Amino acid sequence: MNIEAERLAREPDALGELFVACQAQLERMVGFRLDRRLRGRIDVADVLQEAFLEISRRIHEYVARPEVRFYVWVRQITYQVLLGIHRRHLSLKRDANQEVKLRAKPSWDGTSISMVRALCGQHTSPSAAAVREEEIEQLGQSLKSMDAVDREVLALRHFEHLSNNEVAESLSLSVTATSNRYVRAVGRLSELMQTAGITR
Amino acid sequence: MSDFEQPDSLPSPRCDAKFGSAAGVSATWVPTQLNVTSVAQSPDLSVMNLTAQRNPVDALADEFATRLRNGESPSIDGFVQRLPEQEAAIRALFPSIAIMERISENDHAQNQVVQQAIRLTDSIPDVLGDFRIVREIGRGGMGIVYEAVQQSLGRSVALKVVSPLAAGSDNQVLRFRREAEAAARLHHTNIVPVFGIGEAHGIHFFAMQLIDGVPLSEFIQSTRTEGGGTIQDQGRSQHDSSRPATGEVDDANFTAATQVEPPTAVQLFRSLQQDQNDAAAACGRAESRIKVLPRPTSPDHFRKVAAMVRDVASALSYAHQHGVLHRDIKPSNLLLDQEDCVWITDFGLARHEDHEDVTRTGDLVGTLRYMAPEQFGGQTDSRSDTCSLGLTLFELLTLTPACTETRHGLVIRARTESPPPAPRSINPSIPVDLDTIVQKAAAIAPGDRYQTAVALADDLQRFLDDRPISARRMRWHERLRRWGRRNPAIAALSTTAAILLVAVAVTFAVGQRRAQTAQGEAQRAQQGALAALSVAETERTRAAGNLNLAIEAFEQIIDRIASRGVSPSLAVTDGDEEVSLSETVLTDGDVALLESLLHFFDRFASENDSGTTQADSVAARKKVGDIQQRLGRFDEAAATYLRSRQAYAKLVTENPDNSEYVIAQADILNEMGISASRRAEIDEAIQLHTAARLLLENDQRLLTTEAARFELARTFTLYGSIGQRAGLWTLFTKGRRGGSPSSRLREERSTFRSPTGRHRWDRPGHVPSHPEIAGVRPGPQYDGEARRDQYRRPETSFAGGPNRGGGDSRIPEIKQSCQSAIRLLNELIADVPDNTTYRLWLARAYRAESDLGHSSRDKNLTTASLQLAVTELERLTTEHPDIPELQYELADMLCLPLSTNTDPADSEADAQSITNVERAVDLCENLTTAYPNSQEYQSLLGTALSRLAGLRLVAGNVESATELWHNALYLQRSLAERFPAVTIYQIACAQSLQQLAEAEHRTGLDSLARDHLDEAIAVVQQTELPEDVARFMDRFADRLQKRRTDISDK
Repeated sequence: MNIEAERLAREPDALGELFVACQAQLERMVGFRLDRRLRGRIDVADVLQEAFLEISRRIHEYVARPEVRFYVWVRQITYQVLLGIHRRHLSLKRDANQEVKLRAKPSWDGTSISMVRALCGQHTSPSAAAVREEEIEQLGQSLKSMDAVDREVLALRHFEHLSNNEVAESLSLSVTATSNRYVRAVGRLSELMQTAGITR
Repeated sequence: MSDFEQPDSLPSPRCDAKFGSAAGVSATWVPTQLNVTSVAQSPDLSVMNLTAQRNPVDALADEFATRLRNGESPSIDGFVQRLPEQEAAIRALFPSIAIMERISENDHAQNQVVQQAIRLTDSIPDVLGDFRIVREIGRGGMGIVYEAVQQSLGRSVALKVVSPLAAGSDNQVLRFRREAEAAARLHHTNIVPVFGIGEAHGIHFFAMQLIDGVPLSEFIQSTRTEGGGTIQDQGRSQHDSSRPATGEVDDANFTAATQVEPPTAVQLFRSLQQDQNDAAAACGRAESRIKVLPRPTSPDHFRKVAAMVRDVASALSYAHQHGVLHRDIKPSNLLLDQEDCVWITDFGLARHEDHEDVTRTGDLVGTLRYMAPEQFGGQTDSRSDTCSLGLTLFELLTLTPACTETRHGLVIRARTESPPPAPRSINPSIPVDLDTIVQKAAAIAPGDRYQTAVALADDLQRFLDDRPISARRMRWHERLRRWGRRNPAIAALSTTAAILLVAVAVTFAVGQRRAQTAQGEAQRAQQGALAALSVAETERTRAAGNLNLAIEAFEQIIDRIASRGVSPSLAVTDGDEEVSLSETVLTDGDVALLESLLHFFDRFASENDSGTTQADSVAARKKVGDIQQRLGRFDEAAATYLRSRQAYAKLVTENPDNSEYVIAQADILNEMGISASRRAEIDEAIQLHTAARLLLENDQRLLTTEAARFELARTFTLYGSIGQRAGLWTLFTKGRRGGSPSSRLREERSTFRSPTGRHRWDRPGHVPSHPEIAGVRPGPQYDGEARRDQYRRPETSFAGGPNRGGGDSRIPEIKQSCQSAIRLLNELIADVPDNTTYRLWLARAYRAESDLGHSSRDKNLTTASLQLAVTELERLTTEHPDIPELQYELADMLCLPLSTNTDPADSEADAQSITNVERAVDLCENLTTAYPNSQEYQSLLGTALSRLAGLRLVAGNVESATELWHNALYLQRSLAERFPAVTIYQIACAQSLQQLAEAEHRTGLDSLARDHLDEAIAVVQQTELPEDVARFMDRFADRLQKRRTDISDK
């Protein structure tokens, strides 16, 4: 059923090779999800290194029960490692405000920030940037107000280059639901971008 | 796996020189060429089957995105041809997909550049040209600042190196060199000198004097943290303020504050020593890093700060004269050295005024918090620097940033809409003159500020010399005027009212005193007294005239404020009074103004309970009640109304011939009735409106006047719509049959009312007066399939109904009341056809009649009356397209359900409902487009969408319903988040979530349903509420929780 799991059961040393195959996409994911404040401070390579250690530590779990595709599993662990790094570097625990927010919101809050950053990081001049600040704020609010799952579907598809099936597995949704959700989410995003003046 | 214990044997994803910790697979950081997506997908043999289950548009979108990623430019038309039946979707969605892909690629590319930079930074050589790098002292968006030694001269310098990231960007280099050029031309004792510009190994840098000191941001933190103890200079301060110019709010100011250690005994000792021995202060630079600060509230502190800012202002003035703007003045760009000399550094954002702007992509100039308002619009001149310096002075004085917002948008809003608070409001020991100087320097409008930096420096010098400063303290009317400039819509009226009120206050006081004096004199000399009294009377008359004007202006303000936001409650049910939660979304400024006006009014009303202006003061008191009601202070309002009602009763007794007093009295009774029905005090409301009616009807002579007839019509309408306002249709819906409504009411009260009589919501099934809350129904629980009634009007009302078997139904009374209202209003309109108010009330009367149709199961009446109401409003909106309130009211009525939950299925009514609600959505869309800032319009749109979703679900269109709820939630979530204090927004959001969850549950999407229920629960639980409403919300939360558990079990 699962080629990677079978191969890893036969030859555990293949993990490195398999991981390298995921590396570019993981870099993309980490680059996208890395908190802006840490950009320029954190080496993505270090994140992947740490993730790889964690993956090596837990690979037996995967070989025993390969419930999702290899990349989906590797990505999830890398993502958790990244969250840990965020916590360490941004001292999220010490900040009471942050903590309350983290508890109250769905765990995907960061996605909207990453997406706004990406969607709006294309200013041309400081005055334009300042003028667009309101729009960005608005789009940010809009993205936040989007269904968290929808938002995540978009992020996974276009910012992490996951396939529909991988998205479905990552979010524990059915393939059909994911597909429909994706189409709907693009539709809503189109509207939001229009409202925010990103598109006409 | 035991690999954990043997990390060295692990295969590693990479091994490079720097991090190579493991052997095994070799890899470099050149992104691998493997197509990971296809690797991940190809083993999956079921892909083909699964593809069949995918949305066809999705499959094409996938291909579209993949081809974009491969560098192709696929044409959208091509995809349309392959799936013509999805043309609309493809054309709507694919451009967005292209944008996302492009952005994603850019983002990724930028990340890679940043990553390269990280690795390159580590490889900056130890020696750059003549400079040997000692250590890094700071980094920011433009580059890194090192401490270095200029070997030829053997001097220490600060070396600012352009980030290698920027090396590839000509703009960045250009800007960097320009910065150096600009700064190098400036020679001033308070500007960090720039020695020269250089390039080595392809790395650009410039050298400047190394200042041994701390940025003022640290000085502020230390002062704040230690309250005037010592400041520990960590000697790593220079230029580390050049944080990424990305528009990020400089929150390091807050976080770093906690890192300052309390002084150790040794440090304290040293500082003491140093303090005692000023002459021997040459105790070495290392020791001198411990400095004694004056207490932040001491005059010394303020003088020291004033002197610092004076020096900065002088230096800025010098730079401005040389055509250089700093553009990023803030505490972290000002360094305080060991000799207490302050230096401006980082002209990093400065630009020559004769150059094109080349500030690089992605940078947001300056730190938002210290930016002058006009800078947000891209305008900068020397006065912007002055403003930023004013804000810096604010922070130095108060040790708090003038703007404490941390979110970009909010910072901008705060900075552009309101001036910083008065420093003395934060620390009253700040000298008045400094407070004045700050306010002038940091005024919103550049024209209100010091026009030159030197003017600011001069004023600070005057303060230091204890001479009178040139800046004038702003008078209250000046503040009002400026506020008015920013809020032109209501300010004009408010200002008028306020000024008139003050005028009245003064005149009254004078008049009063003269009258008193006059009376005193009268006892001695009647003649003189009479003359004086007549003067006093004249004054009083004038004052009374002013008061009238003030009241008039005041009424206009209230109307304006009310019309800015009609309550979202109207969305579902309550089309008839705008007194409601809308006032809670007034801006703080509005509320402050209203409160000050209220204070004036209150004083007048109480000071003038007698005398010739009695009637006016009673009118004023009533207005006080109106405001209190609008501010949600219902108890105060009730008390005020009661007092003015008594006052009117007295007036009526004293002046039986004055019809105005009678009408005014009826008006107050009606207001009280509205208030009562909103509090769901039905009996009380009935009594009050009845009293109003009797008052008006008892005097047939009175009813010849138009005003009286209208008031009577209003009374009838209000009487007919008590239930509507009270949100009562849930009151008897569940298992409380039999008995007359009123007897049930009595029984419930005696049973459930708490001793204080305040906890109304103890009564089961009883809901707060807010109609939308009423819309949240306690039952019925779902049984796995949508119940029609969930999306229809729940059964009503205080009127009772034929099915109840009650003997004393109020239906006939109400019916008669509605009919009388309609007849009266029609007569009035026949006399005065153009009166919009009459026609609006006619529509409201029809609406009340339509509601009655629900109660009395007279579907024809419901439909017909609603139709009449809608028609009337349609006409009004056509004639007055410029009055958005009318459209709002129309949209609101269109949202009303046409059938009750117990009606048999009626496809015709359903279809009509859908048409109506669709039109409501349309109207709301227009309103929200025209008034994007009106949250009330957004709220109604949300409600309309949610209602439409419900209707669509009943019609079996789950997809569309879900989509609509998502759209509704898009608005409602945002409102709920932005206005946490507005309960109704929280409830609306939670309701939509609940309904969406039910729809999802029905279609088997339990995990989503659970998520949405969780979110709804979170929203409900986060809502802070007055106690009585809270109980209701608790029950709502319980129901949600129960439902959540139900769905989990399955």
